[in-house]
Amino acid sequence: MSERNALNRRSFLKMAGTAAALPAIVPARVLGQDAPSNKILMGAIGVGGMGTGDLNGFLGDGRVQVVAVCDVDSRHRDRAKQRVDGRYRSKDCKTYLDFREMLEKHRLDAVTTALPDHWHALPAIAAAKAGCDIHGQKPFARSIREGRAICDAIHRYGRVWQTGSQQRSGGQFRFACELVINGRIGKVHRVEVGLPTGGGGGNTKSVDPPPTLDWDMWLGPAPERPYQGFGPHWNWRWILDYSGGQLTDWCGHHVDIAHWGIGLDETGPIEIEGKGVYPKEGLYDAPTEYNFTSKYKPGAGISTAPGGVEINVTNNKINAQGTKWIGDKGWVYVKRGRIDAEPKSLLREKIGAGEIRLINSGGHKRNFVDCMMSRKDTVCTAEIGHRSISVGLLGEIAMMTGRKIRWNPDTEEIIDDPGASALLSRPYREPWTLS
Amino acid sequence: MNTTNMTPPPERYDRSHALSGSPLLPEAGRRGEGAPNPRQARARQSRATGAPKAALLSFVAALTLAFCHGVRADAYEDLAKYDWNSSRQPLSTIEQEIRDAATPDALAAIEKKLIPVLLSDKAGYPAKQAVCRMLRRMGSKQSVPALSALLADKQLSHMARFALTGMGCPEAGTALKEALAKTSGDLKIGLIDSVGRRRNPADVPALAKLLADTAMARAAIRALGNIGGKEAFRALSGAKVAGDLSVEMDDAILKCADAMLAAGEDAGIYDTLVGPGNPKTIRVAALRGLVLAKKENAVGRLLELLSGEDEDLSRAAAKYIIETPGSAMTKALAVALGRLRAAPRTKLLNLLSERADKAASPAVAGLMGSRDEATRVAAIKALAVLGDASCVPFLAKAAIASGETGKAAIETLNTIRSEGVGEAMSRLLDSGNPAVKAGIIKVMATRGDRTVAPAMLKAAADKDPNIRRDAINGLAGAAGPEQVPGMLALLLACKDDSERSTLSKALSKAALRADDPVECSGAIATALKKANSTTKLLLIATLGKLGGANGLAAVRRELNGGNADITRAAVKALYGWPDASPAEDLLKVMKTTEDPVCKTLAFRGYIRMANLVGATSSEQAGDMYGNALALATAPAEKKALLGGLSDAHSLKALALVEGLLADAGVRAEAELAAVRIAGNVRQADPDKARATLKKVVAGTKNSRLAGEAKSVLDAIDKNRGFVVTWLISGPYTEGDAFGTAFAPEKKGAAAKWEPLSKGVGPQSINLLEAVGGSNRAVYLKTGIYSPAGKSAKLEIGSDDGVKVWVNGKLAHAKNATRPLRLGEDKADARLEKGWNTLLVKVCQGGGDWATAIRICDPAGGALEGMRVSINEAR
Repeated sequence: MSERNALNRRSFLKMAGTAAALPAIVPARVLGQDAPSNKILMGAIGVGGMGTGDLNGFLGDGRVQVVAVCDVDSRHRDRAKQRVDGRYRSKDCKTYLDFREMLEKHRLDAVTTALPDHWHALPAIAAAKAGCDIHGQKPFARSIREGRAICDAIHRYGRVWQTGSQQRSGGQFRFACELVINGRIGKVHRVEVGLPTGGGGGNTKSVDPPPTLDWDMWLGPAPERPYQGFGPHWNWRWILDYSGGQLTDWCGHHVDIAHWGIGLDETGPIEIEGKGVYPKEGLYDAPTEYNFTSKYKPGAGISTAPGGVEINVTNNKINAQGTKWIGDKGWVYVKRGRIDAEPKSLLREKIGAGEIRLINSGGHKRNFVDCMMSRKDTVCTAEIGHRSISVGLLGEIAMMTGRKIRWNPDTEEIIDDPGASALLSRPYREPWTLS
Repeated sequence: MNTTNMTPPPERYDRSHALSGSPLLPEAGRRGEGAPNPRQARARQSRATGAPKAALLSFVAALTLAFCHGVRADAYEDLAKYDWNSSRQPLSTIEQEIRDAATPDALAAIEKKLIPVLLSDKAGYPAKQAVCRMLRRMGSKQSVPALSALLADKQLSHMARFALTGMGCPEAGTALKEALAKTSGDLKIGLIDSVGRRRNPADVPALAKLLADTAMARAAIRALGNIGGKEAFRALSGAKVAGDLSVEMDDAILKCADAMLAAGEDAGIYDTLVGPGNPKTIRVAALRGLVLAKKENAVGRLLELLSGEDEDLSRAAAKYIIETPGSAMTKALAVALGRLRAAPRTKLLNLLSERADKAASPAVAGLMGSRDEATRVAAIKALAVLGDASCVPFLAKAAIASGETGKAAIETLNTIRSEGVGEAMSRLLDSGNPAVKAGIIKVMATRGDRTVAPAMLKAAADKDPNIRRDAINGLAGAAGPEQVPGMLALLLACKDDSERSTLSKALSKAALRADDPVECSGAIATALKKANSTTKLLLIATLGKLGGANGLAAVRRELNGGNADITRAAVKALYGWPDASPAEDLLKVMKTTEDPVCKTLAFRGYIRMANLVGATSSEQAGDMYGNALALATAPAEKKALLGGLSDAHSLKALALVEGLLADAGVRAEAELAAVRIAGNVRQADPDKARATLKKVVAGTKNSRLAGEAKSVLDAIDKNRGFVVTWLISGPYTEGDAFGTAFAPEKKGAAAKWEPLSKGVGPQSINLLEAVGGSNRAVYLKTGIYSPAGKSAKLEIGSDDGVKVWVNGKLAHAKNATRPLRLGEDKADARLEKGWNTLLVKVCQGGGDWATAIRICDPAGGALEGMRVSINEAR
């Protein structure tokens, strides 16, 4: 098949250690004549801040019917039920504390998940095994092994997946990537990615969890810890048991775009080296500052330099926030609300009919629903989401160990460093098991 | 920063590194090689509050300072006392020690100090949990016994696994496996999961024994699936488990099959699981495996499911057909086309189109004449992707058919992209079949394909008016400069007004497709001499779009030819000319013409050109405005003049307009122009702008305009002294941004300057918006007028470092990493009488980038008579 088709359709069978991405089927009731409902039946898992935003997006799509919501905090799930019922003018939305019960009781076509990072894998895999398509928030997973397990489940069961990396649906990001991938700045040898700087501090005092919150379920597979007030409300992001901080939160956006612009969506670096600054006091232990560089194999990607490309990721005190590709003929920089280039004339360029055109999603959540119907790949597949966050997770390992990491992107193994390899997974607290 | 050249971590006891900057900062962000002096260090710390960049430096400096004292000897004792509510300082200290440990021996030494904490009765759960987290990063067989002892501990078992599961040494695996016999319930489930994650085939028998334990079966199945491979498959396939675990079992078996397949073995598992009787989710998953294993040999099963009644499986098969790569797959599918019933054959044709592999082309082309309409239509549609030039004659005939076949053929002809398709279509224009010819010319007109332009040109002279019309329409999309001579010949010979008009539009488009459209002006100018009056009107308009000396000479000739219509067309062409070269011609028309239409056009065109000239020379533009005003006597002429003046940036233009404010016939237009120009020149002469605006406010009856004038006045007062009219040079990215003297600050060195238009605020310049990037500098330059030689004060804000020169003398330099704060720096300067040159260098480390420069009197008040003009910068 042509290169263009290969780009637009990433789901080729791959045998060497990485799972294949094959599409699947749409449930008969979505499109069939004899369907009890012609709508996509959806459940929402995690309906806090981000989850509510996602829920609202799907409630606005007439092709979707949200039938159940799930959250470990009854305030969240009651609020979500109210929202759903208000939208449909009914009292039909069911509420669940445990996603397993929700998947068992409903024959859902899709779920949308917006959970703390340590909870990204288990519901996603369970939903895939139950035959659901999944819209999952970024970062894709808390560990590389979890990420691969999600991808495998999605591929094995032929599910449609979309990562909530909505920058892929922004016209400005797509245009920047099309400029780069079509060689407008020549051969790219370096990409500079700037992410927000993380927060230190945090109150260490243990307190009783809110009565509405099932704290043990919130912890789930993560190590036990008393409730210290950060709870389900955002600040868990600064604790490594649950997240990698701003680093992993934003790699899912700006590294994702970096990959898109040079055709590295389905591979990874071969070397990662860097340093971080970690809080010394308070509760939080995720790095507040970071600077690491990932080098890719020469020949990897499209419009990359013959000697290979490197992606330098730092907090935004060093690299400007966003993504900047640097080639031998100029550069392109993009972040939310801004695109720039050198030479400036690039910004007036048109991408021609014979050139590589990246997927124009037509709206991120809409793209997910479109792809559920068509069974085509979304603008941000599981493999893409996994490979984007893998860069951040490998950077985290390099910073944690203080060593240069050598990585085989085909087998997804760290080379000759058992200590670093141990950090590729995070063993679950019993009775949770990875399937 | 390139981490391959990363500065090594500071020596722990070497104070000289204490304030040497962040290990994260790029080279350009560091200031000097050695440690800064205490004053610098204090200055950095003092900026920490509220200044993000300074905070970074201070934070890192403080962090580094802390490590200068090394890991405190009692950090491990503090670790043992660590509780949830206490500071994690001892934890972070030891974690840093782990990150800094450069050798296995250094790590082993740390591990040795951690193990006693794990064994200590005094250390509580939080401390031991913290130790387990650390051992996960660097533990070895040394810590396995201590961790093993915790595996049966209800509270600590998970954390012991947290450390052991990923540990590379075999002792860790043995410890986990042996603990299976010593535990029960959830702890045992956790251990089973950990054993499975280590993926050691030698552990299969131990896990297989647990399949019979109802409470452990689910975990054991999952663990065996995670290990995968032949042994795990045997263990799973031989086990009998409860019915509610059957899907779990199928999932694990599929994982085993995948692992075996990756190792080159197809055990036939997929064939079994894809069959009827299995859950649908498992059948879909097995079908995927089957395709992976058998590739084109799975075509039979794929087509069976594609043709079947189960919609879900049919869709799954369809997707696997589309996305399984390789010509062998395509050929196997193509061969199967002939065997299928009509309905699945139509589906398969659609799927082959989606595959876009031309290996299917012969088989698909063979069906474009099928008797079955659905097959025929699907084949024709697929040829849009799979077809080539050889299909064109058939498709062209099919296109004249009625119904779905004809529609599909037209759609395919409109979109088919393959070498030689245009030529094949062109050849059909010579065919004897008028219907085919009529059909294909419409297709060619739609495609906008440059290769068909010669044939289209020929067809544009066809006897059949319908063919002619479609061909001429098509030329607009297909023709280029090569067709211009032919199109001119046609135009000169054309007798139909509608065709002539369409042809002239196509001519403009064809000429504008040239790399330099002016190249076509010569041929058009020559044709103009031979053209009749109607055609002349069209050709003159075309020349007006192209510009160039030849075209201008030709239009000038026609301007004075004596035909009123042609003269008007010529003036109109000059009015819209791409550059200001016809300015004198328009001035002449203004002076001489009796035709009011020509006069209005000439006025507007002349002012338009004055505005074009004003971008480079305000003086010349000012003269032009004066010329125009001198000739504008009637209100209509003055209105035309004022309509063009609103965009002017010239003080002369402002003076001219002010003179018309008292003219009752054009007062409204003059007031509007005055407010707009005053806004444009508020920096060039704020006093004059203010005076004009006040005059408008006092005299106008238009309340809306008065409001607009007042808001410009307010802005002038509020922003008085801020300089926002600049030329810009850069970015300069080589070397140290602050320290390197780039061309603009070197005497005699040539620098490229251009007017700054982006990022200009009422008081400040946003350089991130105007230029962007990191580790670089730009220069800003402008002229400052002072009515007398006097002392002045510069109030400077910058993000980041800044240098300011007045008339070539350095007035201020500040190397800083800081956000923009208005007037943060103050500097004295001496302004000479007349025009002074202000030069500013603004450096950028990372993040935001901006500057704000205000000039005021030494007491901070407005500097009377100050004016700003980029035209006066030297």
